[in-house]
Amino acid sequence: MNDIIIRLEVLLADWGIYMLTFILFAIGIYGMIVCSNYMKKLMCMNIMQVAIIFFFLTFGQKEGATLPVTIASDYINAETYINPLPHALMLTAIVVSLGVTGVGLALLMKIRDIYGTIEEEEITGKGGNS
Amino acid sequence: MINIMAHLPVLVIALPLCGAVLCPLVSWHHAAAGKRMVMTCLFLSLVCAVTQLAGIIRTGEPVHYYLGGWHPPYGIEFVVDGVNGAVIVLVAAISWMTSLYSSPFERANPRKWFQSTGYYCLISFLAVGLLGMSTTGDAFNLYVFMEITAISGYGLIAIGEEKGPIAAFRYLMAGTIGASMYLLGVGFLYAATGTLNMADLAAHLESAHSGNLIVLAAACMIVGFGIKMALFPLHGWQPAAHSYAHPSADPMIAGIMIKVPAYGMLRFFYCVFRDAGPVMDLFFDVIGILGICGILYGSLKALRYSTYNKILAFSSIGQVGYIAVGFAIGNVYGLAGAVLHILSHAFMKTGLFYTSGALKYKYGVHVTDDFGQVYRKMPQTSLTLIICALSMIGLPPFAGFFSKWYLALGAIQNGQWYFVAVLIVSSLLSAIYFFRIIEKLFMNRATVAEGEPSHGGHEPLRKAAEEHENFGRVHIMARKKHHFDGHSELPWQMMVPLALAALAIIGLGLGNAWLVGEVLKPTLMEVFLA
Repeated sequence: MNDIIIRLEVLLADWGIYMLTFILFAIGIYGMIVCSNYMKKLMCMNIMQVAIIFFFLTFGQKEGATLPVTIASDYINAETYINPLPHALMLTAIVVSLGVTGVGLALLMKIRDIYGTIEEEEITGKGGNS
Repeated sequence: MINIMAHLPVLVIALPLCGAVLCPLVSWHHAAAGKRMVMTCLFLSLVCAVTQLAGIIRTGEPVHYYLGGWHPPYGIEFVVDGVNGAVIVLVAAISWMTSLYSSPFERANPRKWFQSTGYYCLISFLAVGLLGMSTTGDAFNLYVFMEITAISGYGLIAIGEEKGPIAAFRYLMAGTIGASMYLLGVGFLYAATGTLNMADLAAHLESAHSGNLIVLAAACMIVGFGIKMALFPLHGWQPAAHSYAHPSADPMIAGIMIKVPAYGMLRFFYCVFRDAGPVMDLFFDVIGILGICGILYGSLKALRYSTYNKILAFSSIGQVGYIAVGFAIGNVYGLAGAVLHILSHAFMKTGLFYTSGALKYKYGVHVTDDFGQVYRKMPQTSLTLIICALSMIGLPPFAGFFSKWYLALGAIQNGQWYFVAVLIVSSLLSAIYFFRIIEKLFMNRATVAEGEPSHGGHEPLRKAAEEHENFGRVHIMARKKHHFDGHSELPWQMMVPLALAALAIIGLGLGNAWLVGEVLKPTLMEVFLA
């Protein structure tokens, strides 16, 4: 049992976690293409963005590493620091994704005002196509 | 005393940013102040951009600006050389012209405080994003500017015609996938090299061992930039977005929002991936095939429509194909042609959308069949339309001819005759659909141009509105009483951008030898093809 857990951990640390992130990404893209409800499309878009954030955070990991904090400009064991840059980048990406989601929701409210629905088929039926 | 000249690269971006942020505050006190401030900021930004380009031409050296004094690879770097200096001038010029062009629309369609200032905020933010994308030398910074551009673009498309929100939502979906693919590509590159600065990336990729990862990153970049620049199979969002955007913001959206990502693709592939093993060969094949397909598809599709904006939107897909073909040719003539086409097509498409907006503003027409005899009432608009159309077809004194000429020269030098054949075929196709518009302008029986619209000439308009139900808001806008004097065909705020666009096309055409020889070619030889 213990052996299996260790092998699973090794697998995940090696490439399994990237595989899982990729599956999440694929689910997001698939949902954006297949779903006909605009709200669901927006949610799938968020799933896709979260997958990319996971990807960045994952390759920023380092086993047994510590926080990159300097005390009194003294770099203690700098080789054991994890890389803070992917986290900082993803902080920005999360803000961007929040902004895009907000704009998307506002557009959905507007679409609902005009067409009375956010289902793609019904809107296309009412001449909203192309 | 701060040396302003040393801070030009950041001032070009910071001025519109200040304008955008302060616009709502200022217009809280005085309604028109915010609008004027945005225009002033964009104009000052244009002045800075021109000064910067003049300095680069004089010294022949690219300008490096380190934000906050952090040197690369740690800090964000702005790099301006001859090629993106010209793109920055283009973006600043069109942004300023469009902000000027917008104000009569607001008077014809009086909006509330929030909507009017919001519009100018979005225009200004769009300019910030596009200027930033063309200035930055940092891969992640480019992503942030790309999203600033995209978010303000969604807003400007959504406040347009009745189908605007749907077009904006579809663009939001596609645009987010594009930006995410770009971010993924940046992630792969960062994982492979540990740096985000473009020059540093290029140096690391030369010696990188993880070949597959870099090919994957390049594929993500092609998809990301491809969606943003509406390259052929990834263009699905573009026709609706360009047709239904707000008529006064449309020139900017259609003119430069798809050109700057094209410049980004050029910068990324020729400056970053240049030495990265198999990437460039794959890039030439993929982008060449997509470019050819896009040229033919866009031109053929444009033949099928009779709505003016739709024709222009599909012709944009074809014109982006030319730029892609320029990248695929990949020698100095090909790249010079591609950059010249970025510049000239931006002015042509902006000019054409200015005429489209002017026709909507004055008569509310948007179907080419209704253009009959408009030239009698709007001679200058028609002149701009004809100059832009002839340039799009590629007739000699105008800019469009010379960009195609350089592309053809590059293709012949490489022995790629199929590119020349495609260029000729698509020029003939675009001649068909543009001459069709010009023919309707001169030959068709007058429909809407009969009588002054402000003196009860609305009967044909209303009939047209009933026929085309999506006419909605633009029609109402055209029916509003015009507040300008009857001497000129349009308010001067619209005449000036129309004239400037036409002059820019002629100027680029006549000055192409200087532009290519003095500005583009040295930079291309030094930076892109070294």
